[in-house]
Amino acid sequence: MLSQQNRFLYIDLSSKTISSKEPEETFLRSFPGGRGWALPYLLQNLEPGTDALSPDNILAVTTSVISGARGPAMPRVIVCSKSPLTGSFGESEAGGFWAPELKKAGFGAIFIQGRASHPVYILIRDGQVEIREAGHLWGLETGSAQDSLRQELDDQRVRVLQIGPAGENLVRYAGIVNELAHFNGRNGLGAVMGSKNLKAIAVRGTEEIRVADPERIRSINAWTAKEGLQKPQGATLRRHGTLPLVRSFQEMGALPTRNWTRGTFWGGEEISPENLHETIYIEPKSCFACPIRCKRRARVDNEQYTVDPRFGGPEYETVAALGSVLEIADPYLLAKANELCNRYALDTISLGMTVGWLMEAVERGFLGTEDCDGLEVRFGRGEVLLPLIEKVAHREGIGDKMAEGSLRLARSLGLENEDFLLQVKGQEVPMHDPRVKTGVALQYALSDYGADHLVAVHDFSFATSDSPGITEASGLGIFQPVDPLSLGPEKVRLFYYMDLYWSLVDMLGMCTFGFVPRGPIPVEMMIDLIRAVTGWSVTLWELMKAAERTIHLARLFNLREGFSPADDCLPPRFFTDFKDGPLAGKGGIDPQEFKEAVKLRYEFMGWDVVTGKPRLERLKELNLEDFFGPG
Amino acid sequence: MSSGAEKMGEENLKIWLKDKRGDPDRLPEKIFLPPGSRLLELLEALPLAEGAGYYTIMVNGEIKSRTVELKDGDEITIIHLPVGG
Repeated sequence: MLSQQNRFLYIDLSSKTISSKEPEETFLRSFPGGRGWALPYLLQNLEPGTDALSPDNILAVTTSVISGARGPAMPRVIVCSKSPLTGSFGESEAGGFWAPELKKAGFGAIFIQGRASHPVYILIRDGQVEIREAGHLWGLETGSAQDSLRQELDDQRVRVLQIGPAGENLVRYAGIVNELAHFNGRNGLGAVMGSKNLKAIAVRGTEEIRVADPERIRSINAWTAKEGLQKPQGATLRRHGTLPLVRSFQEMGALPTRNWTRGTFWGGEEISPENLHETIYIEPKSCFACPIRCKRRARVDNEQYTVDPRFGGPEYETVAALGSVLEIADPYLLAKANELCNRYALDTISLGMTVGWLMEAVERGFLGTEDCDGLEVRFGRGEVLLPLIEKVAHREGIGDKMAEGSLRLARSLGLENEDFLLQVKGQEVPMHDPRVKTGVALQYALSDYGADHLVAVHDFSFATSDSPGITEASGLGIFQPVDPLSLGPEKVRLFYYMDLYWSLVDMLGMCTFGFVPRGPIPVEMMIDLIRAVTGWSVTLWELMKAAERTIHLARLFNLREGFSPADDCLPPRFFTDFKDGPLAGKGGIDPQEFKEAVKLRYEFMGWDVVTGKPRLERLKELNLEDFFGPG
Repeated sequence: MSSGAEKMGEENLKIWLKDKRGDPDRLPEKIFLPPGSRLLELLEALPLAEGAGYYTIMVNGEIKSRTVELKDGDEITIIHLPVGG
């Protein structure tokens, strides 16, 4: 049953060949989805050193063995490739409706190689696959392209996963979007799609997914909708999404502000969840079969701006990246900027951080107005934000350099060694200050695809004996509170376990907001859910091992691309104290403690501390020795 | 609220609360606790809406463990830290 429902589809756009095969169930059990499907294929079929934007790169659009079943918080599509932003293994997940639709159409994953001679889209309808002309869609923003596709297919229910003009123009932080509001935002995977002249993958499936125990899935859904939403995690997500973090970090003094030179923002009240709900938000929206409904939608219709709720609304990461980082406090402008990024399919985090870098470069006199096409690119100058988004998406003027990401932009100007570049492995940092939660510091440094916050342990969940990580996630083996600021062995252990756990959640196309400690569903219920879909008598131990396999494979991928332990680092600004607010004069991460913590994590993983290479015996234990290469 | 909120004795600690959750009426401005009280005891005495596990506490502007012993005049900041925090 599982092999049939998870057929792998292979498409070569250069030769226009299409084939498929059923994966073996033993493979599926060792690698149940997502990066677990992508990494073995990439390691076996992608030559080391391949340009991420060349036809030879492979784009893996994947789901998991449980995708498509009507369980809560498991709607995500996982896209993997070599990243054009980082040059490392690249991965990004998105919620929405597309992944379940692909499963209902008969496939678990699509592996795309080559480059079409002209713009095309892929159409998949109930097992039938076509490569179709997309010249009429190329250049269209995402809303118009989706409308046009649905009209020509005469099917309003076709699900469209697509790039916008940013991906077409090979912006290195272009994203991929489904249903206009669900983003594979990070790592620039939209540019990989653009480099293949692939505008969209339209999918329609009518086959219901067969599951082993439908009654158990229904009962878990009912529990989530009733008890789960009464728990603080569920209730907060339903009421405010991720936005309460604006207020929390502002009050703590750790809200990324003015390109991270400050921890408090004068416009904090304007971008608070309460004010955003009063000014721009309408009722929330759900992903496939999920009762939590955490997605925000914005609507604006005033003299200055019109914002269409079809494109969703800014959530915490965007509000901080385009708001406090740039000192822009106008909720209507933030809603419009978010909509514009979604129309062009641009990652708002990397965009905001690249604009932030430029603003600081100007403020500190490294660049002038003349270097920025005459725009006054300074903190608080909201009027430059929309023009800069236009320039980046279309690679016009300064936007052409900004489209390369902050690291390449800084390098092109000889400024890469200045202290205001905040990236890891080429990817701009997300909006969580590692100086107040050191598990995030470890994640930023050690993530295989550059600075990332989704598989990080967010330390406050384990800070005290009554924190949800301790009281509700004890099945993960952390029984004692861990100090959010420590970098000792207890923190490295916590990071190690949670890295496995969240990697597992990602790999299965589950949403981190569904499951404890971030979401309401307990670990035991998650395992029950996986058993109910697959019919496997699977255990948490087995699944954590599956996640661990992928971390080693990603490591091997990056090593052969030339990455080394020196790349597992943090931007220098995080080793300095906060300059303002409640944390002024405090907070800088101790470089020696950080170095020791990274080294200990290598040792936990069985990686050589000098070369970073996984030891052969460790790979043998994980049944990965075939991937052990020379060097 | 614990009886400590109403009783003020020479030997008691006076702890100032800065409720930062946009809900200033919920908590008192100050609370009195017996000497030797830890942050844990203070939190148990407060009517926190979602259980203390969902809040991060700063003592005099620093993030502290709940086992820290409080001193007279300490200023407490209570920060609601929801999902992903």
